[in-house]
Amino acid sequence: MENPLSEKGFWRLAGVIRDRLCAGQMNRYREVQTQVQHLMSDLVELDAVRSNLSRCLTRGWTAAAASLAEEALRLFRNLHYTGQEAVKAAEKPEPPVPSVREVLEELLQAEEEFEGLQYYPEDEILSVTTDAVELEGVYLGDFEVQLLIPALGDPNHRNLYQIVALDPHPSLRNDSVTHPHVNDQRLCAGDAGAAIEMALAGGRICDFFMLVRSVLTTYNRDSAYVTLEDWEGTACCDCGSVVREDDSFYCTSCENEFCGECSSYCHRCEETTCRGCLAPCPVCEESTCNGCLTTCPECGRILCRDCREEEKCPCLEEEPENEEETDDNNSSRSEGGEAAGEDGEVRIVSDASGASQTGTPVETETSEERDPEASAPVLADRLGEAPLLP
Amino acid sequence: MRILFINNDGGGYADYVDVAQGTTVDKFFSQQIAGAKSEDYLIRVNRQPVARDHVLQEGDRVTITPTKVEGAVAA
Repeated sequence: MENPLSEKGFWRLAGVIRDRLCAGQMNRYREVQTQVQHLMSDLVELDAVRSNLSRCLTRGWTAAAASLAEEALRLFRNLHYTGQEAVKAAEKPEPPVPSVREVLEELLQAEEEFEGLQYYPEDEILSVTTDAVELEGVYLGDFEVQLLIPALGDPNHRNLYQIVALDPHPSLRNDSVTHPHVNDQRLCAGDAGAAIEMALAGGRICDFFMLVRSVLTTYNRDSAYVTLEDWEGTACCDCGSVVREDDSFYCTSCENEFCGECSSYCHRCEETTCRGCLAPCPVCEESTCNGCLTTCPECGRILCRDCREEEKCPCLEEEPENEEETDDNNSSRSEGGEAAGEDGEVRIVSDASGASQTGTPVETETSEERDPEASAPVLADRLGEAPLLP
Repeated sequence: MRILFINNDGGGYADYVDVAQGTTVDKFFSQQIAGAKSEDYLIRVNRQPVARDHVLQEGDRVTITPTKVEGAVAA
């Protein structure tokens, strides 16, 4: 429960905040200490290389000396990098920790600026409430800016506070976006990030709250979690109905958003596709996207990829029937000793010994084109002598 | 004279600066935040709002905070 702060309460809170800031400052010193340790460890390794290299030079071990020289080079590079990191850690701007009185003045100023300061002792949260925010005609409600006092001193300042919508009007596209720059109660402070970090590091609590308010009352359409144009949802590209982000479907063919009614999927690649980008395969009649439609290499008919791979095109299905027919004809010819089939095609049938022969037909004339009297068996060893009269 | 200037614009910093006697808040603003409009900022002297022609005094604490700061999507 929020607890109105008494005068003593303000003093106590100011003391707690100052203690946290001191702890945070110690964390920064620990970072410098870590960098010093890294440097020392590199130096110890370098000393070992120096000692071994000295032995190699004394005894004339050139191969070992070359290897050690490479090791020394690696360590020099490490030292260069570690040194730069150590300089950064040591140079990091470190605002002086304010006195308890200065923190108290910050708290009192914040109370005046925001007409109230709330404190939740059980969670150690200090908060202010903004006026109702409306950006470009979109009402977003008022927000509570909560500062998590136990986290003060955390190097990642984004963990230090959260933005709670008191009268939430989240984007229809995403419930967790209550403000174009707030997602899951986290503010992306953008241009205010550095100033907020400095304000918190220096215990300038009121400046921190004011900067967050400035971000909440400003809209940057170029970098929003959800733009205000899409705040009420996404319009289906086909029927125009407005849908939530979770209920909208992205067509991978035309790259537009659609509602569930206007969306389906390709039965071949299973990608979400709008109904406008789907067409039934003329062979299997399954809905197929443009990317999965192709043409039959034989007849040029449009069909889906699977039907083509499985050779299901009607033009290919006709061929096995012809082959069967041909086989039947051949077998009847072999059995009956007839040289020509009913269709009158000239075929190689058998040689003089009666052994069955196979081969490519010499001619493929149709019965209508040929004189029946000219039909005659052609023996494989007598090619070129046809036509022969029966 | 010396005053404590806390600039919450950009990177944000706090430092002591020297200003001439009789410098008004308006003049101080134009000296420190070049090319900006004072109405886009909250200016506090010793934590209190003041008029544009308020004359700064030795040891004052001046805070300038922008009222419009663009947020962004987390990287």
